[in-house]
Amino acid sequence: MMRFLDMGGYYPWVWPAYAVTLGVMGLNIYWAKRLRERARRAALRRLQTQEEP
Amino acid sequence: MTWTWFHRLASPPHLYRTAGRLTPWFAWPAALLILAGLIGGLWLAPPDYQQGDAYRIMYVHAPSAWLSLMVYTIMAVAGAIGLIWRMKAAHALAAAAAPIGASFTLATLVTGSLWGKPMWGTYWQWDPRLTSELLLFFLYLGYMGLRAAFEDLQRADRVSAVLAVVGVINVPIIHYSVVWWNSLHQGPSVMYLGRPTMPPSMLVPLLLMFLGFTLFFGAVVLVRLQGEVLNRERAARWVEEEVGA
Repeated sequence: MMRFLDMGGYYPWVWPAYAVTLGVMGLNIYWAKRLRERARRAALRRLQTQEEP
Repeated sequence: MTWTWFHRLASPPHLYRTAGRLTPWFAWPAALLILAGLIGGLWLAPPDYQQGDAYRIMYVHAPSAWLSLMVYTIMAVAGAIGLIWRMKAAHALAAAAAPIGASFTLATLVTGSLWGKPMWGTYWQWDPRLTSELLLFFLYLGYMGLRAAFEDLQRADRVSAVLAVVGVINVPIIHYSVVWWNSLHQGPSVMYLGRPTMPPSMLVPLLLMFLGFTLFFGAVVLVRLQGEVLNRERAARWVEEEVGA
């Protein structure tokens, strides 16, 4: 296990590279869901405003 | 050939519902392929005879770089379609794709720097490949900044589409920079002169990651596209049905 984590001595570069990429993927999922949710809420607000006399 | 599907995609409710239905078909295969690629790239593939285990950065760096170029090309094509046929759906797609492309361009630059330090002895060089990729990142930022500068969504769509179309000239420059100029960056990794440059144990995880990243982009852009379509629709009845007002 330690040999695997050591990455032949290249661990200071290999693991941060994977962390950055997987972090970018996680952020993309979060941002996309947030954008859709905000758009839904904004659409709902617009519709409610239009319904009021 | 029938173009009915193309015209139907221009319809916002059809596009919104299709995007929603397709998302899981991209997301789950993406997750499985990336997981398989990670296991193959980190555990199963042997160390490189020259670069040791540092070459494993390639399994996240090369697919990120692929996305950075592919996404910008999609934005340019969508922008051109939006300008020529005044298709709102195409502009929505370009706008949805931009932040994803920008983030993976940044990931490309960071992971490339992390590879460069142990291999080249430096995090950064003003090399043609690195510089043109950095320029691509600024093009993405310019595109998103330009969109944010306009309150009128239609003007933002048109002006940003022009930038996307003009900026696409940078894509072949990035791709061929290692061939056209004497670059510190290594040449083509997957195929060179029609033959793979690495054994299957190294190549298969890389191909899984390329496919996984591409499907990941598909899933994320579809979710963003739903948001973009909703933002473009004002008082349509279908929005009422969808958001449950």
